[in-house]
Amino acid sequence: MGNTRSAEPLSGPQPDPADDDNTLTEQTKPSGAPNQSHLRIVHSANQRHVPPAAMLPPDRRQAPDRPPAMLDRTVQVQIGRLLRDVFADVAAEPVPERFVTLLAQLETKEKLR
Amino acid sequence: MSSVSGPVKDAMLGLVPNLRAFAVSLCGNIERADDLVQETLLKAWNNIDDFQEGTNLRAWLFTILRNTYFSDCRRRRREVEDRDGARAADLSVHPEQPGHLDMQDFRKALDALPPDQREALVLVGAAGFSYEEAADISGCAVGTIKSRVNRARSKLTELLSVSPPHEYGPDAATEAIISRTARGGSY
Repeated sequence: MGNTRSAEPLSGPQPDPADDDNTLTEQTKPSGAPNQSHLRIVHSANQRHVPPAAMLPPDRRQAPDRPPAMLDRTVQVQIGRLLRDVFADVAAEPVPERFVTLLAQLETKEKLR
Repeated sequence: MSSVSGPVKDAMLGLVPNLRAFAVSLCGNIERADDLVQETLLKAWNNIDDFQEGTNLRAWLFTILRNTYFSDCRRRRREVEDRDGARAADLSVHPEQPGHLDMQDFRKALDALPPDQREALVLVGAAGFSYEEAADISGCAVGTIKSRVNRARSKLTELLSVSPPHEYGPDAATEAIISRTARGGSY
């Protein structure tokens, strides 16, 4: 079949998943996905990849050359993106006043010693 | 101490956004997260002599924060039980729009993970720490971090499965997507 993707098992010795994420982010070129923070499981059909098994009709899910959905590389890349997006969402907020005040007070108290 | 307080203050201030992001991932709400960050900054300031200059201040602050969170959790035992793996077992995040998951759905799924798995995944996959740094922050072995990350990813993949609960079956829109996808059509 034309499935050139190989999914590595999640158990046992394996490449660093964090590294895999970076590698795949470089390799995978989503076709003009409008919003990267969305887990576009359906969108994967636009790429050359076979869609995750969960999206296939029941009779195709058991295909022997098809790795289980749990290990699907596309899903892992999207999880990685969402993880970083969720984190960055808070990290991009300005520092609340309470912390500016707190640290200024601590510094002042320290200087007055 | 007063001679280094300026740079230390600036460095801590600069790290507050990151600390807030990590705190939110740990406890799930911004109010409690900010209280955790406040406590962390106070502890760090009062124990600054324990910090070795030239080492990773960010990792040190993250360590204080997560220790504060987990000891806080032990005091709030009921809240921890609400958020541990037992709840994750029967939670599946079914997206409101078929085939489409957004950050809110993902946050829910993340919150459903056991705390140690969520922590490991966020440290390595979101906060950008190495496995070794994450192991130091969490106070465990590198192998433990790796297995927590793997289990977290497996669990997330399971929770984020686009297939709706089997007792309902796919709705009409999902069916259309499935059949169009199977034929290799574009969506």
